[in-house]
Amino acid sequence: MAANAECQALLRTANRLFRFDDLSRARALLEIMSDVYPDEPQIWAALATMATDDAEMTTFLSRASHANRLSALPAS
Amino acid sequence: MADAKEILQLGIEAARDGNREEARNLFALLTKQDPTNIQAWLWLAGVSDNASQRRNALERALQIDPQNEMALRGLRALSGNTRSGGTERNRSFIAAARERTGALFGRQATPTAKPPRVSRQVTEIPLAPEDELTDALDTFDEEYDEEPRGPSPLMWGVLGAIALLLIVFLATQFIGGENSVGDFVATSTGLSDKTVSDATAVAATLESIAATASPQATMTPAVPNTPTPMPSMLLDLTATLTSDGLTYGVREPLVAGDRTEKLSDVPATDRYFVVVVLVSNSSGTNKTIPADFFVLKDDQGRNYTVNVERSNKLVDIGGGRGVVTDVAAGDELPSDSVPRSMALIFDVKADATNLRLYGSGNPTQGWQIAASIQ
Repeated sequence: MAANAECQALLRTANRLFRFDDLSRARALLEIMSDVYPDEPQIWAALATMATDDAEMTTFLSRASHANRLSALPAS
Repeated sequence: MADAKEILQLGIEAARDGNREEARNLFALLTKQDPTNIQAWLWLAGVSDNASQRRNALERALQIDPQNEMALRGLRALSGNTRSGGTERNRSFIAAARERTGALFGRQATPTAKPPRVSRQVTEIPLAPEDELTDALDTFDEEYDEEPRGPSPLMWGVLGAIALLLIVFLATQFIGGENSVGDFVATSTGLSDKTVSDATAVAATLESIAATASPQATMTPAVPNTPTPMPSMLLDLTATLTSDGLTYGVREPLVAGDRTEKLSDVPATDRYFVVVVLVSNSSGTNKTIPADFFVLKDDQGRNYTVNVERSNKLVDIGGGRGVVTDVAAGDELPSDSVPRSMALIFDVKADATNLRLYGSGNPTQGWQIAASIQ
């Protein structure tokens, strides 16, 4: 689940760029988002969709899975 | 590291297109990533939707560069802003209305000071040297223009002329030698004999025109009585569908377009394309999703089913279940209603465009996944 409405809105922007084939800016946006919201699994998963090789995709998906497990933990 | 300038430009374009919320989000993201990005702060000020946000952004810009002329001018203007609440605006509007109505009816208009145009003050503040920023500020200012928005003086003049003509018309009806009061009532209500006969004639003419111009309109149905395919509906990426006790969806923007030529030692026919879905099983029995449950369609009319072997391979090389995705495509899903991520790999032609994902049981509802995989 995205951290907040702003993050969700930015994901929508990235998705729109992706769907309109503006891959360079979609990836640039997602990379900056991953800096700001490193625990947001959707960002890493979206980055995985733009991976340029197997290793990169595996890394991104691993980060997505890790963040997903973190977000699933009950709040202490 | 991503190029922040690309995103700054993206925000500028959003501002230019009038999408200030998206622009704000983008500029705010840049300031969070790099709090010393003064351009992002200045632009954020330019698209902020209230004075407080604008002031805060300008102050942050000044912390970075205390001599920044744009930020200084912006803050000076904000400090000198005489903008007040709705009471003053209402008062100004009422005064302007009085002035106009006074002119219309020949009374002395109440002398009033011209209400302050806050927007002019804001417009005169170039917050950054770029022309684009000025454009963005102009857009911003339009919504903050506090000029009372009543009818224009020209409109008042036209209304006055119409009122005068109406008075003259009514006077001639009452005073004129040929018309009696009865005639006036009949005319004004449209019930004079002539009016009624004219209306009857027009109606008859219209009916005859309709009858001759489109004789088939009432004889045959406009749409042939043949079965037509149900139109396909594209869903929002946050929507989910249910079929056979399985609930599935593509979480935004978990729309995957893997552009690698090969995933492992088994070559693809053309391009592998990955879509990550979330699936939960509430059917009451454990299930393995059939390979043809999900279908990817393109504009070329081709359908692609999941390459289960490749999908499982992806999970394996990624470190196993729970690392890359929760489950592999060929795994049995326990009936516990827990959403699990699953990577589906399709072997897609390189020229495929407008890819949509559909699930079994919902052939007319799907998700727009990607424009192309080039």
